[in-house]
Amino acid sequence: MSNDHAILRVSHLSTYFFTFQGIAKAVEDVSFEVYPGEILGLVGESGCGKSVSALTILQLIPMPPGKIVNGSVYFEGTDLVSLTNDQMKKIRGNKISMIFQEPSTSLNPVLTVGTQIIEPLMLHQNLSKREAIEMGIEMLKLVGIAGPAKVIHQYPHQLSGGMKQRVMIAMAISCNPKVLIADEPTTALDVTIQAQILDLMRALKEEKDLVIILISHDLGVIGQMTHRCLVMYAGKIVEEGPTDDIFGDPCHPYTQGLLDSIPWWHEEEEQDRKPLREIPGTVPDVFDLPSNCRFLPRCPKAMDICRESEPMLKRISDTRAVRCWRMGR
Amino acid sequence: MNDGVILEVRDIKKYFPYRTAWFAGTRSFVYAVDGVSFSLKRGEVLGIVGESGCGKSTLARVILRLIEPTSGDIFFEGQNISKINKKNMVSLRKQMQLIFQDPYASLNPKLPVRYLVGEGLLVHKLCDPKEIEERVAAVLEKVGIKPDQMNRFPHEFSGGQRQRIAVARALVLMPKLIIGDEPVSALDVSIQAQIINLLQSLQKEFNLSFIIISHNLNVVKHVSDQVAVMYLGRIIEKAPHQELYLNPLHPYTQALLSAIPTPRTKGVKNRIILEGDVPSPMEPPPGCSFHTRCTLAGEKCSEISPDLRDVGHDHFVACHHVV
Repeated sequence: MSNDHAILRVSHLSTYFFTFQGIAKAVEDVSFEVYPGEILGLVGESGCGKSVSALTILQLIPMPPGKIVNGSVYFEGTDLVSLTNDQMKKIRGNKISMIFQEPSTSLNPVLTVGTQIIEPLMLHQNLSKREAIEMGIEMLKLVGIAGPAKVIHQYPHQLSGGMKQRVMIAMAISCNPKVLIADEPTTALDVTIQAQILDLMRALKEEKDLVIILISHDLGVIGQMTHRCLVMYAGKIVEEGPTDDIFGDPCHPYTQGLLDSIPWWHEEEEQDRKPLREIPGTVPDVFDLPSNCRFLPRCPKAMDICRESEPMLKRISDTRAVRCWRMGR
Repeated sequence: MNDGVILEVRDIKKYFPYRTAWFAGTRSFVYAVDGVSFSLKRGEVLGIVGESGCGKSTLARVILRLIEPTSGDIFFEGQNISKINKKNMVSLRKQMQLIFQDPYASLNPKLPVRYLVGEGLLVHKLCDPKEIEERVAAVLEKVGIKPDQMNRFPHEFSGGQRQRIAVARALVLMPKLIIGDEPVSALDVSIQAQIINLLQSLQKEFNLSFIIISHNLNVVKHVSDQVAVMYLGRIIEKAPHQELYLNPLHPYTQALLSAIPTPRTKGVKNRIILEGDVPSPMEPPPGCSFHTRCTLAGEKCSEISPDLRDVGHDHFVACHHVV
């Protein structure tokens, strides 16, 4: 994989929030590329910066207090960070679109599904209202909604959580975007509905030739869905590589701890009764991040050098990189 | 392990009435819990799993009579508690405690930890007011909070620490039964493991009986001895945890298990993906409540509701198709 055909290239992105409490360094020096035909995972715990990274790509950070202090996001030869808001509007929902965690809060409760689904179509595709409605019904059919002609006249409260998320997906892909950013798309849904939505996303990726950036805290979802993933901790990428490799042989102590701390249901009896390996302590305060390794206070394998300075994200093979002093020395 | 049964629930029903029209007198019901029976042995952990709206939280509240059941009996240590008066119930509740999902909502932000944890002791007059501080310090130590932090307020603690405080609050009364309603769902994965380990070690140390309610099947398997699966207000399958996960018999349990995303099932083709949504508990389908989404459903399923039957190995299942 060469850098040339990356669809989206994020480099050295840093987003800070300047608040009365101080500077919150939500995202620091995040770089990654997304290649055609892949699902890239962003995984980490709450507050690790995975959502802010995604919002930064689409310039959806409230400014102020937020500010993109450094970095660039190259998409189709242009740096999205340098674009004005009006130029950005032509990209958002058209070439890069996003779906959010809570479908019930991201749909407008006082407008029908139809009104909301035709909006991007009329705006970006210059369709007439009638054409847009036809197209909207097509889209709803595509995402597996039964009786789309009826649903298009309904209000969000008449739909179940799973259906609302399907509507959100239909809206997001209606303009044939190149990139779909899914921020915890199934976290608010039940397991059986989650399986339906994940299946749908996988099918749409093939059919529409999409690139998906999937953000989740659920290692199961990331492990099952993505080809490559980035593990984030306290605003930085700590590990990067093909998902199967990371899950099979995690290199960063945080990734190791994370994978060990989850019980899996198909584990054997003996494994079941053992206490889980826990990561001691909590995530550092975003206003007061350590200047050495950010995982140091919780790391079981800390060495002297970890206290002295912060490790870089080092390549350890063609496809993998780790931010840890123990690796690649 | 003592074989005595600590809690027995017989045919519990809870229907919430609602008005079908604004001015009409006609009433209809939300069938939240619709005939649940089980028993829990002393020192045993029962996991209850199910999707949202299946009635698992209502069941927890009914057992503690925080919500009055519509019908059915609850026996706690052999005593039928479904009929006793409110005052006696309050004093009984010190033996049965509840831990809630969200430690940001369940702790009063205006009270210091010292009071939050000691409140139960004060209410039930379990010890001399002078001793309260000592007892609180001891229990905080147990759950891994430094006793010198007891004058702090909830906002000064992280989510995981708050859940520890919520556990301390339940534990300080030395209850015999603790019901955890999604006790780790609001926590991050790395913190989740800390709380699960804490609950497990406390359970062993005090030989507590536990009911863990969760939608997370991985967590339930790890902590429970027995697992019950609920669907639309009913238990549709119940078995010892290994048995249930290795040999699920009900089509819903099978679908539920295959729907859990795990890295190891990547690319597995025979995943069962259920179609449609859970029917509304306001209008549960006739017959088997699962027949609308079931691949095996036949004529009988839409007419007769299957009973929970014993199929051997302590395995109970409610399905016409299981022989």
